[in-house]
Amino acid sequence: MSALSTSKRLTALLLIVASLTVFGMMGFAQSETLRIEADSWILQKFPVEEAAERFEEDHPEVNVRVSPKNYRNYVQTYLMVWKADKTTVDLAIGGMPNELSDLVAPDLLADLSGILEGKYAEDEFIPGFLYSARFADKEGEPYFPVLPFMGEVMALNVNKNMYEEAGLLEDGQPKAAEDWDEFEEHLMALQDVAPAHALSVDWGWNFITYSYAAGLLAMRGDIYGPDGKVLDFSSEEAERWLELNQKWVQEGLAAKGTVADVNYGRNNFKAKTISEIYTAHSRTIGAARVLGEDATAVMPIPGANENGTIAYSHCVYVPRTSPNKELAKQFIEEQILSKWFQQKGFNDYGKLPVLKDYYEGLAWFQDSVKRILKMAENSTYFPKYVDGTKLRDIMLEEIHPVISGKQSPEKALEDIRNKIENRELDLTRLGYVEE
Amino acid sequence: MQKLKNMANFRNNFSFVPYAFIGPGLLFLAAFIGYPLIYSFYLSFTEYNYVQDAFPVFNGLQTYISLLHNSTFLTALTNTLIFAAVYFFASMFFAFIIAVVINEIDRFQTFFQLSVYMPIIVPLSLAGVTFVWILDPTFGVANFLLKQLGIAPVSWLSNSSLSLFTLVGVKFWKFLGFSVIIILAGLQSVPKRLYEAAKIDGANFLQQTIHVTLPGIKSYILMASLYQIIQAMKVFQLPFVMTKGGPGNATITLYLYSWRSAFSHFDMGNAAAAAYITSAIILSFTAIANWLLGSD
Repeated sequence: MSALSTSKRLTALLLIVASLTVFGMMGFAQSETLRIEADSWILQKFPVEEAAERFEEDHPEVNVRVSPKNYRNYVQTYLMVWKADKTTVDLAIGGMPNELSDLVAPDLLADLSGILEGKYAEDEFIPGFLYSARFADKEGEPYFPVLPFMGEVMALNVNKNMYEEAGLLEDGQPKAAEDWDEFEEHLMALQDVAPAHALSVDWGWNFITYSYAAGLLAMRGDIYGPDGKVLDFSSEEAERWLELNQKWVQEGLAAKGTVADVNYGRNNFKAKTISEIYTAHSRTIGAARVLGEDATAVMPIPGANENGTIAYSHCVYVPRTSPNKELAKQFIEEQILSKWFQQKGFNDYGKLPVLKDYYEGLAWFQDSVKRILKMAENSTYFPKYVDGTKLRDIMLEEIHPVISGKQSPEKALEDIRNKIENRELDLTRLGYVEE
Repeated sequence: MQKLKNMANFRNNFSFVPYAFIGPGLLFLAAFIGYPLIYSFYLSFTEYNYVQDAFPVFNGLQTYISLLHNSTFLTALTNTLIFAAVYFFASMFFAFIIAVVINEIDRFQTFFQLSVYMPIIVPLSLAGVTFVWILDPTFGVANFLLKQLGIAPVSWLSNSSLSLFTLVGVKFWKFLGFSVIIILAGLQSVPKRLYEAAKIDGANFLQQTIHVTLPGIKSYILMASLYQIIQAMKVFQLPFVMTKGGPGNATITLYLYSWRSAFSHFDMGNAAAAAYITSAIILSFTAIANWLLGSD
């Protein structure tokens, strides 16, 4: 009895050892796990999970795990974890370069410059998108700790039906205003046909810097003040841009809803109560899902074709603490920067490809794409400052009252200049600046 | 000799068991409440940007002093106090009136109690998002109704003179039910014979309210007041979800300022100091309410 029980025990032990060995070997065979985290909206608008499946098919030894990241506080979370030399992620997707500069400053990100070779050489990219992600290393040399995977440009998103009703179509396309007087004439014509307002400029907390700089750029071809580094808050054009916006709101041509609700413009554009919105170009593609492709188009504001517009990008980045840095870079090269991935972002949600070649063969918006590409190629990125968020908050404090008609543009610009000085803002540029 | 006896008794009666039971709870409190409280109090006396600085640098009261000269902080303080005052008095006044009315109703009392209490169940952030749609100046339900009444549309959130009061209104809708239920419980606990006696003495409704009802429900009012004072001061979710503190700084509050300092500017010293000033104000108001209403 006892002998039998001993043999049973031995058999059981052997089985356990054998199982552990087999599972252990399976574990070794699939030892590489690439952990990807992306913002929820990116998982919705880009085929990240499909890219993961494709990567696993191409590399059966790799297991790719995709999960959403803590959207609102991801920079803080990553900062704390990565500073402690740990990580739960190998590749992070999403974040604008100015936000990510908080991770670049303490040198927490791996250098991705090596990817920019061959078919991904620097001159293959839309410059405004790529160079928004360029930083200076400790020696002052340019490098790319983050890489853009999608871009947006500031543009006028218009409702073509209302343009037609207002008599502003030319050869079936919306007529672009040549100067600001003509632009105002268009607004007055559109106001007659719009249920609410002709225009909404995106002065929301997340777009105020872009809207301010893009208007300024279109007007004077530069966004910097006399020192060439700090944003211009003193020129005639800066004052005129704010004056125009204040006047349009006071005359009822433009809405001021974005000062409180960041989605006011896009919601009303979709609801067909506003004729045009000045914000990221992709709102047009988003609205086309409701209004139809033929009912929407993207246009430049006066001066933007010649002087350019503001571009911004969302990026991918790899923490230095990741044990799978090379695998993450491989994923970026093979999937994130691939033609199918980039074009799907545009075809589904209007997010611009960052590589020039990918503008061929897009599924829709052929007319607008040409205009967008022209604007994108001529675009400038918004500078990354050490105290960039403090600067944005000062702009909110001073520009919102201008839009609401409670403060003059002149006083607002003066207050911004004074606050920058009094609060000792560090406006050192974090990005690489060519001399 | 007696001392030795006491010690022997203590040894004989001492048991580790109760401590073993409360030990994990105490450890949890120490780790997740005690330590953060002490550390954040220390941080409030330092300068510490956790992106740029390796460690906090002690600077005494400097952070508190500079906060009192910071125009954004002062705006946040003013906004919070205005919000709290309007919200507190409005919610206590209307809660009392509604509770008295419900108390007087004989039929469907439970239905009215439930109706008033229902908004408490809605998560505050969800209420905020919903109200952004309701209050949209162009296609929102609120302006649609005004239009039907021939009244011009109102910029509920984008008008800087109005936006703070709009947020008060949303919070009022959300938390009014709590005070109503508490005060109603108080009203129902006042003995009926006191009213009968007052009536015999010739007291009218107002006199009954002042001399019978209010003294009778004092402790209930205190409880509702303490709750509403804390609710009134800790205004964060609504401006965060509905306006992000805008237009400009029209709806920035102390907690939002603290959040912005910590998680947008990474200035932990400033954020901690602002949070402790807020806590001190809440404690002061609570103590005053306690003193005024809870003397017996």
